[in-house]
Amino acid sequence: MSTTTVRIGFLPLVDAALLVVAARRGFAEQEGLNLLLSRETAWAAVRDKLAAGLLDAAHYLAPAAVASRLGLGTLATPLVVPAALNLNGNALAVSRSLHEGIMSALDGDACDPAATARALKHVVERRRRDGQAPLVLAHVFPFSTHHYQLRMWLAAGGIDPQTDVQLTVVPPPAMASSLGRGVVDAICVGSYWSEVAVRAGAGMPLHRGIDFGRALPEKVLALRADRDREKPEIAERLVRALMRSATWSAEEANRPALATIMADRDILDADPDVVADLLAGSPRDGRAPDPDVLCLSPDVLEPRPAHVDWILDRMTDAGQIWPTSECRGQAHAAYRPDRFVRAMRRD
Amino acid sequence: MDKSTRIVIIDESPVRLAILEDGLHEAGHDAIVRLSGTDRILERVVQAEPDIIIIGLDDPGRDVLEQMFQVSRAVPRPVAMFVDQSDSVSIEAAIDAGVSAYVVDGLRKERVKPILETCVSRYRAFSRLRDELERTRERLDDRKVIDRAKGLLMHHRNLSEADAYALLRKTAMNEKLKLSDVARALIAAADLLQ
Repeated sequence: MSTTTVRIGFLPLVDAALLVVAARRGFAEQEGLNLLLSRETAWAAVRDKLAAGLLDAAHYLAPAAVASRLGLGTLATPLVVPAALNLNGNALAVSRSLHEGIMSALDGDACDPAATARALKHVVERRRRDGQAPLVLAHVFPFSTHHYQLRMWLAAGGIDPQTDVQLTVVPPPAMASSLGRGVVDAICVGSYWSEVAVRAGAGMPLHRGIDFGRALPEKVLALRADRDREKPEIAERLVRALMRSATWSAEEANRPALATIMADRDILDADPDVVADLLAGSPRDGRAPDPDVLCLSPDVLEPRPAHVDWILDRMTDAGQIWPTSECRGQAHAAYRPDRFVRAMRRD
Repeated sequence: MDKSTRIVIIDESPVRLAILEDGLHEAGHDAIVRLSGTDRILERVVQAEPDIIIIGLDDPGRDVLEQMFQVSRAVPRPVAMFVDQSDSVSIEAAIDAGVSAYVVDGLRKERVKPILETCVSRYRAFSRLRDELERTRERLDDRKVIDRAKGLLMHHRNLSEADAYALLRKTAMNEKLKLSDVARALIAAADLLQ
């Protein structure tokens, strides 16, 4: 088998793990791929570099991959998703003062977003009465599960995301500092970055992403659709390499090695202990460990069309699209479970 | 040249920012606002009421600005990227040079193009400068490494400086390696043997 070089973009997040493992543990090589990992700083940069051909594939936000099919956010080169990279993995943390406000108004289970959202509504109303500025809630990208989770939370409390609060985007590495300095009041971000905020004392953990749904789409493997048509074997080899990575990563005995790989200076440049805690499903939030906190297991890789429907519904709620049946069809063209299945059959 | 086009430039590198501003001034643009940092960057951009926003392709603030594509209270006017989506050659040239541009609705194509061209050429000039600096630094590093390897050979093999250098060069030629790579290998081996 000849070796093909694939330039692949990723953001420094724990859910890039399966791609990083494929490159670092030789699984890509076994599939005849030479993966050149390129650490990127912004999702917009990943999208643009895919469009300009500076990247062949990327670790990408599932909703952004769907958006590429709908011509949203310009420069949207249509992408294909032959595999998901994980499910779940986000967390919601709030400033110490907002945490106090929510806890003092809380009537119900603190793990239930509907209960904390009702308490948040009290805080929002009190702030309005007191003439204070609306709370600022940060996510990572307009087309992201993080954004939609914040909106689900607000909706559960009957809070208007346009008028009652302000939604904004903050780059993940700046989240902890923004929360600590009071630039924002809440952050919904990949759990590594919320852990950084919590452990630095900049904020308090409020929700795990799974409180909003046990199997929400998160990151996917994205490739340019036109290039994929020319060289379909690249996606198929990547899928098989990812499956090898997922099988290896699922072994509990490999978890310390996985944490070390991810914490590396060229990947996350992070504390391996924090990464290990997240891989073990136990963020520092006083709750029992749960393996679904971040799901990297082999059974999450097959792209699920139901996720496209979920994303379209959230886009509709957010006012990003006006869904027609035509638009549904276009969006579904992004997810290719058929490609995944074909790749696995040839294993 | 239309001088009333308001340009916001955002860059984490103060040197690149200065090179860019200089280039735009030379092209006759005076209404330039420089911004840095990511705190409330969207609000600051909106307040500056730009016609065009130039930002490094890899700037961490990129995703913050993406909100400009959304219809919302925060952004009064719709925004497009690069304005002329059909002109894929200039878009790719810009991306390749590391520049991205957000163009506020209403600014005409003919006005955007020369601004973008100036930015692309200035970004490229900055990259060349940076590459050159890196090469100079590498050359300096190489010289230090070669000196150390020479010293090791002089000490362990009792050679003169000229002979030590000649031996390094001969080895490099025989092995088809760079002189500095042979020197690095020698130093690593010597460290192992200690």
